[in-house]
Parts: sequence; C-alpha cells; structure tokens
Amino acid sequence: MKKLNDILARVLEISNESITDETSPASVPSWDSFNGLMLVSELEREFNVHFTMEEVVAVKNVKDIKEALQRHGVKDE
Amino acid sequence: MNSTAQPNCLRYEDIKGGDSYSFTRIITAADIMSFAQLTGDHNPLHVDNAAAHQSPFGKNIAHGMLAGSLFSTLVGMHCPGRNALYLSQTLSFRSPIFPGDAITIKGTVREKNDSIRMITLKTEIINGDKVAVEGTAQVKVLDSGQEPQQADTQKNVHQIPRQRRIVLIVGGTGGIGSAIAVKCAEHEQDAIYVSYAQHEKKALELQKKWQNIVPMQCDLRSRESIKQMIESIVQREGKIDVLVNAAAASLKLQQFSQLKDEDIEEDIDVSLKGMLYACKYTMPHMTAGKSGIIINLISSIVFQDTPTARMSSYTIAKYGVLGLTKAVAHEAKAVGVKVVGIAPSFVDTDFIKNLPPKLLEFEKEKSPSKRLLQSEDIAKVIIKIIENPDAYAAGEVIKIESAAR
Repeated sequence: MKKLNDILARVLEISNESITDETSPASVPSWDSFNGLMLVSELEREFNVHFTMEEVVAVKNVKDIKEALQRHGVKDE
Repeated sequence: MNSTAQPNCLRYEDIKGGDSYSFTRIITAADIMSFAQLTGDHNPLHVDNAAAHQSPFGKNIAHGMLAGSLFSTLVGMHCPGRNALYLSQTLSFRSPIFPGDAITIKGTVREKNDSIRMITLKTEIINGDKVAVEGTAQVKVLDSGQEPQQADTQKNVHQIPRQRRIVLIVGGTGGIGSAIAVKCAEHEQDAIYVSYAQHEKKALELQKKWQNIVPMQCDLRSRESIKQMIESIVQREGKIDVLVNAAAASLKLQQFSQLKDEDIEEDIDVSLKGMLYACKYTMPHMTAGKSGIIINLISSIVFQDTPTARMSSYTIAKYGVLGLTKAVAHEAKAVGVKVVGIAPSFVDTDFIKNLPPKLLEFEKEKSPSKRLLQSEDIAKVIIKIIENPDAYAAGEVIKIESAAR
C-alpha cells in the first residue's frame, strides 16, 4: 500500500523504508495519540472512508491499519 | 409514594460544610408515565417506545425534570428536611436516565450563610458511573417551629448592587474572550474593558460596534503592564467589579521533548502568570468595596486522566490556574470576593483549528448535542455567574461539557 506508507511517512516524519507491518506507536516516538488521530484524518480524506471510535482505538500497528482499510473496501495495491 | 414518611428535622447548626446526604431510587416506566400525566409532557421520547427507538438514545428516557424533582425530596425530606424553605435550584441534564436505572440523589453542603441561615447544596443525580443531573440548591433553614415566610435573599454579601458594573476581560479579543465581552456589553450601562496584546484590529472592531467596550493594550508577560492597566481602570472608574481571566497563548502542539524553552515560558507567562497577577492586582480594589467576582478560564484538560497529547505546556499552565483559583478563593471570600473557575471542553474557535479533525469529530460525538461548545455557550455561563455568584461555592470549578442545543 504505497499511499498508506506515504501518509505514514509524512505524518509521522519517518522514512518510507523504515515502515513495516509491525511499525507501531511503541516503536515510533512521534506516533502519539495526537498524530494517531492526524493519521486517521488523513487516511479518511485520502481513501474516502470513515472509521468509528472503536476501530480507531483497536489499531495497534500498521498491519491493523491495512486490515481496517481493507474492511472498508480499500484494495491492497 | 409514601405520604406517611417522616422528614428529617435538621437545625441550621446541625449542618456542616462538606456534609453530604443521599438516597437511592429506581426510576420505573410507571414513574415516567405518571410524570407525563401529571405535567402533560407526553413527548414521544419519554412515552412512545417506537419513536424513542429512532432517537439518539435508542429507547425511552426519563424526563429530566422528573429526575430533577427528586432534589425536592432531598431538600424536603433529607437535608434539612422539615425546616426547609427551598429558595432556588439550578439544573443541568448531563446524561440520560432509562427506565430501570437505580439512581442516587446526593446533596453536598457547599456553603453556609449564617446571616440569613441559608445553605447552598451541590446537588447531583448519579447514575452508574455518570452524573446524570447536577445543579445547585439554595435552602433557608427555618428555626424549628418558625413559620415559613418570604425569604430575604437580597442581603447576600456577594451580590453586586445593580449599578454600573465595571468588567475587565483579560484576553478580551480571543474567541472566547470576545464572546464574553459582547455578551457583557449587552448591558449598556456597564463598562467592559478588554485587554489585548497584538490584536488591536479586533479590539477596535469590538469598540466600534459596542460603545461600552474599552480596549486596553496590555502585555501579560509584564507585571508592570498588568498593574498599569488595572490602575488606570480604577483611576477612571473607581473600582473593578468583575475580572474575567480568559487569556491563553496559542497552542504549541509539540511533544514535550520537542517544545522550545521560549514556547514553554510563553505558556507559563501568559496563561498562568498573566492570570495570577491580574488577580493579585485587581483584588485590593475589590476588597476595598467588599464585593467582586473573579472568573478564571481553566480547561476540562485538568480533569482528564490522560490529557490530550501535545498540549503539555498548556496543561501545566491550566493546572496552575486551577491551583490559583482554589488557593485564593477562601481568602477572597472572607473579604467579599467570589473566585471561581470554569472548565470547558474544546470550544469551537481558532484556538483549536490545528487539532486533528478526527479528535474534534470524536469530541462532537461525545456531546449530547453533537456539536462542539461555542464561545457563546461560555459567555452565557459567565453571565450566569456574574448575575448570581452566590449560586457557586468559593473556588468552585464549573465544568462546561456540552453545547446548548
């Protein structure tokens, strides 16, 4: 998911190459609750989807984001 | 209902500040139907299952006033009971009560006014882990055997005689401050002084529109500047009746480790020390006249277990203001000055424009009105406090959580 990685890199100010499925708030200091919600806002805008509070809270790492996007019909490219 | 139940018979002397009284009852569907019959409020939300199913609550809810009416039971049966003369009651409906809910009706003695033998109770209805209804009750405690008579509440020491009122709003050009200024300015006989730092244009706009708004340039980072502003108002008007501390430096939205030292200092200097010195320099002019009201703008962030991220220096300053409000309230009360704080959740102004949109969306979802608080909502609360300061305890922090519908 190139678009997802681009957004993660831009919002969290990290390099694209460093992003894996396991990348998480625990491994990226700039991924705090503020940036977490910034990320959700960006993803919703980019993919034209809407996440509930439960979905947002449930996300623990990049893999969870991918799965949530797929549930909303976003195709893995 | 048991009409043979005997009320308590507390004397004024029996009631101590901080004491609390409570009882529990289950609200049934039959209660709701009886209340609808009694009052004629047959709103479908309360009495029509199918319609209530479509509502945001998903099922019938009890009338707010049904719950609120139990404060009458609290006062008339529990504290003080037989000797009660119920003078006033404010109510805020915070969260719904459903049929079958077991609620606790609780009153805590916040203030005693010996001269008129009046108690002020903080009244709450607790439903599970939520406060469903809250408010303030004022009750005169009659001597046992004394016949109820028209109470004289006008003698109250904090009441500002309704003559020309001098209001100072520190941070009067911000989103919240200017809304407060405009609301205060509706009382044409009053003078509303608004302090501003850089926003001269906004200050002059306010003045142009409202003849009784007077802009005052003031650098809140300078004690001298604050002192000069206050002295010059007092020189002109002879007094200050109301001080509203509404200034705050803009949000930095950086992690603590990333904050520049200057940014931290700006928050402490403007948002905390600015308020502190405005209080310190204004109070002597209030105590001289033995009346005054100081309202400090805090934030609901001080009640969050995990304060919103990237607002650390703001949070630190607001905790300071909470401390300031509590610390000076009793000393001020002794000389007739009421100091309170207000703690709103996010208010829809430019101040929060850089917060994540999703954060604000969740905030709206949490609110019964599905809106963010508006600065006018805050202004209305400020006016309520100014009009009736005795309804609030010294050092009380008034939470403002949901926008008016």
